[in-house]
Amino acid sequence: MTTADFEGAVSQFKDRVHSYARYMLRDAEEAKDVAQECLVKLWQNRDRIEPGPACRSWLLRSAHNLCIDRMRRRSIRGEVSHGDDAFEPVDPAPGPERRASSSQAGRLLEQALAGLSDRDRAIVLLREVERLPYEEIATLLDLNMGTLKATLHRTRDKLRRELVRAEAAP
Amino acid sequence: MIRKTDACAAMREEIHALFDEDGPISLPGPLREHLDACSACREFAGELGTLRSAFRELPSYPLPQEVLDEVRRRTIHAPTLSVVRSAPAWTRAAAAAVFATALIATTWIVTRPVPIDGGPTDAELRHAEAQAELVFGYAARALDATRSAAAERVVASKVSPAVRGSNATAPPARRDGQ
Repeated sequence: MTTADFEGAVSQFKDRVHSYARYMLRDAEEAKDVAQECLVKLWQNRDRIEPGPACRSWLLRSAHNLCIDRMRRRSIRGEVSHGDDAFEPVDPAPGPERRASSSQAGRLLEQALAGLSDRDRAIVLLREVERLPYEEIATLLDLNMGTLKATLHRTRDKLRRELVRAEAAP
Repeated sequence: MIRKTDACAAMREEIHALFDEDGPISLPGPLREHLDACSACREFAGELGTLRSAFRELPSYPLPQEVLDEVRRRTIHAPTLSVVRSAPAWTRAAAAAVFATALIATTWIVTRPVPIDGGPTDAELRHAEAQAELVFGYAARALDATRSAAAERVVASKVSPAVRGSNATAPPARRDGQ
């Protein structure tokens, strides 16, 4: 990967990596740190990474692993983790950095995602948002294909019900 | 009723599988027939479609500019590790002298004439030494004679003949009359 390739990859994937870290960690500062670390690591490993889809996969894998590390450190420090049934809104008031065009459904979904377990949230984000192939997600999360698909379908159902419930609420 | 629920579960799995695909969804015949007949599954499929749209409208979090600047500072704009430090002039001169000496020594070692039969004998060396002493002796005497002649010429040109004569006949008078 040349310097120009690196700059292109940064330009193309920086927001996706940052968004993924933000949704996984639900912490603005930590998400920035993870995104920055990912991009610096990409530069350090540029000789081994091809530009294009392989680069995107590498970045997401790197971001996911860094997020997992941070979540483990949080649990060791005894910080509060969000359980499956805790639907806490994330940044209820849209900040300036958020996309202005995000719809009401998008914001409701964001809140519903916050209530998922870390693993389920990772699965649904990698598949539904990043559109990674099943095989790649299974490898990344160390899951067999059956478990992955069953978990994805169950999580979709859960999110579907939450959206219906939230839209029906006054 | 139970059979219908089983059918719905199977159809919903099929609907999920359709939503796994990228791109537009096309319903297979049996599924279309089931959806035509089952309002619950039709509603389910509609809600999954809404969920899919919501994923596309999920808020994005652009990377802040200051983070991007920091990334660039640590990557493409990072200073290279091979910093060249300029050495003092005397160090460069000393290095050049050492190099030149080594070059001359190497050249001499490589190109010096090699004695064929082991060099001169002791007798030859003694003879050469005697000849050299003779030459040095002649040279020394010639130098001494030249120096004496030069001194006499200086005396002749600077001192008057009268002084030279009195000096030669009597010692100079003493002031106290003794």
